[in-house]
Amino acid sequence: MNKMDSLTANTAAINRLLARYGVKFGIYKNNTFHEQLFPYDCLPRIIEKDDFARIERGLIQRVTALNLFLKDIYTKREIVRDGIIPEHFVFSSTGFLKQCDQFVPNGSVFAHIAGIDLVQAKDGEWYILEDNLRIPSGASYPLIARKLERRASPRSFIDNAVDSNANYAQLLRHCMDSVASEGISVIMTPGRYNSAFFEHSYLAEMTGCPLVMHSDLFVQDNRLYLKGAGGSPVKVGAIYRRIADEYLDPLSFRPDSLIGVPGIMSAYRSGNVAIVNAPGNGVADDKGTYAFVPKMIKYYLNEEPILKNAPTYVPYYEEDLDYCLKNLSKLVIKDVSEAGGYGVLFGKDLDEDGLKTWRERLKKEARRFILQEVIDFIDLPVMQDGEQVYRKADLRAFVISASDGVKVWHSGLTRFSRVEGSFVVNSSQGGGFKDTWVLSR
Amino acid sequence: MGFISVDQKDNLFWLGRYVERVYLTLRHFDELGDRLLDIDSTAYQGYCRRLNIPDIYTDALDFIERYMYDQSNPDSVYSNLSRAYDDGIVLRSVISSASLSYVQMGLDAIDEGRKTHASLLLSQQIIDCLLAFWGCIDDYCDAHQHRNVIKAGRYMERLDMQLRLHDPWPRIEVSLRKLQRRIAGGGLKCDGQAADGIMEYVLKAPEDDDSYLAALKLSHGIIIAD
Repeated sequence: MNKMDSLTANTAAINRLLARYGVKFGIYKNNTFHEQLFPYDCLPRIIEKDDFARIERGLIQRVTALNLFLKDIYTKREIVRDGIIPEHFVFSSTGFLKQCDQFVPNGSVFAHIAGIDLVQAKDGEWYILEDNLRIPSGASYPLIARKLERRASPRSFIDNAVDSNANYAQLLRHCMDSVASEGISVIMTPGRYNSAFFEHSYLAEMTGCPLVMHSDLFVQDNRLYLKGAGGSPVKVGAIYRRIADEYLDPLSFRPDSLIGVPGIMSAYRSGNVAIVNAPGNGVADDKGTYAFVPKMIKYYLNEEPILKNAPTYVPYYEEDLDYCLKNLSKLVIKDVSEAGGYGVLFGKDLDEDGLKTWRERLKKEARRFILQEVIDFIDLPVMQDGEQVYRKADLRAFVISASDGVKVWHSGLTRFSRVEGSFVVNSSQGGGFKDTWVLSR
Repeated sequence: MGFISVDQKDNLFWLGRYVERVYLTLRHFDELGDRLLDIDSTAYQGYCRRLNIPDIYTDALDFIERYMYDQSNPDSVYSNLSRAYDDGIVLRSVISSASLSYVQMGLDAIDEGRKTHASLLLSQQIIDCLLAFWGCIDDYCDAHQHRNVIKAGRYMERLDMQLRLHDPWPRIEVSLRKLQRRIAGGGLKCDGQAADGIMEYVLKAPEDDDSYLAALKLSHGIIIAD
């Protein structure tokens, strides 16, 4: 495809429009809030139809297994009983919430919106790097960028059959409505100083759901209500909450939370409101649990995983620990409790003293870390100062699970590093984004 | 979208006020700028007095620069437009991205003016953005009641500025009537006696500072709190 000239020629204009529409993310530096534009690159990642069809099957398979895992862990725990996953890994995970024990949400869906991070290796193989099942962000950026690309370069969309990505809001809305108890669907934000506030407000606009804060909601008679400026409270049937579990309900989790809704967990457990995504999902997207997802797929679905994990070692197992100690300098170390690109360390960047210190640490804190082979994932073309350069890029794919089925959004957020050779693509660490085009023929 | 929260209703009202404050200030600035350059270089002092804002300026040029662009000056045009943005950003789903984008563009223009010290040159661009903002509100803000709340804020601010700057009654009357209509349409409560009182004071002694001051005080109670 070499019809991108009008896109590249209009990059500055697209970026101006993105700025105009407030496509920003928030970041705290030295305890001060800054809003930054999310640097956009006009050259999309393009995924061929057949390639995406395989990714789609793999993602549906993976998220289906993860949902089954969550249901199992919070009810019968057969996967633990059958020795597929060590008990320790599940119950010592900070993501496991006893407040969710023995409860299955409406439609048996836990991970309604899953953001699955993938990379493509130089041999073309796709690897899963991370599952994000709590409150994954990012869909709004390619969604709004696509609108502008279509205006900037109609020719690109006439000459190439690109699947529309305009249906994200409908997928999200359908998902919420499908699991809702009686009442309206709302999107809850912790406020404008949240790093993803643009996304919260944009998705509210696109889905037509009210954007609400904790102060707009209250629980009465074990039901969640929205108090509007118009008078009578309105019952809420589904809440797409964009705040972390621990802040959701001060009566169930952190008592010092000022951004939660007292009593919402009780209403949820009574089946009177659906919480999207379900609380307690952290046990399934823990980086430690990640290593066991291929086993989950075999266990629950009796299928071979379609998409591979990056080769991962769990120092909890002696055999893995031995390998890690011997090969530390070529592995990447990940702290299972961190996210957003933090807590990631490359062994190749450590000197002898550093390696020695880390070997000791791995022995002492075996549960806290996983180690992975460094996947030399492909560089994608990026326009920088008018020149085409190549930078590392990943893909966050979005999988939406409604009560009537699992769907993969035919697009995704491609994040790239703006530093040559760097593998860190996170926006919070200076990365940019590009749209993801899925070809339909 | 029909629903707004109590906080959003408040934001909507204040968004209208701040946008109008910036708009009227810039409109007034054109005229005041000419006076400062040609007739009376201290005219800004009276302006500050009437608006009841501290006169922290050393001279006319300092006033022009800092009253427009100084981020640390809470009375500056920049600060007022920033407050409009703060109110607007939580209302994207109510007023639309399209409407909000004009506030963002106004801020971008004012930033540009700050960098280039083209103090008065950029004001037209900001005015354009604010006029487009109101056009967008009419087109994109579907709920009739929400439009009335934001416009109640707009005409409340206009009335306030007109009373402070001693506009003649016919112009004040237009704003007052528009405000009353918007208050009713926005589901707010209007103090009819306050409206009558404003008219009486302004008509009774149109040259008298105290009459305008009394009318201004009454105007602050024209919307009855829930």
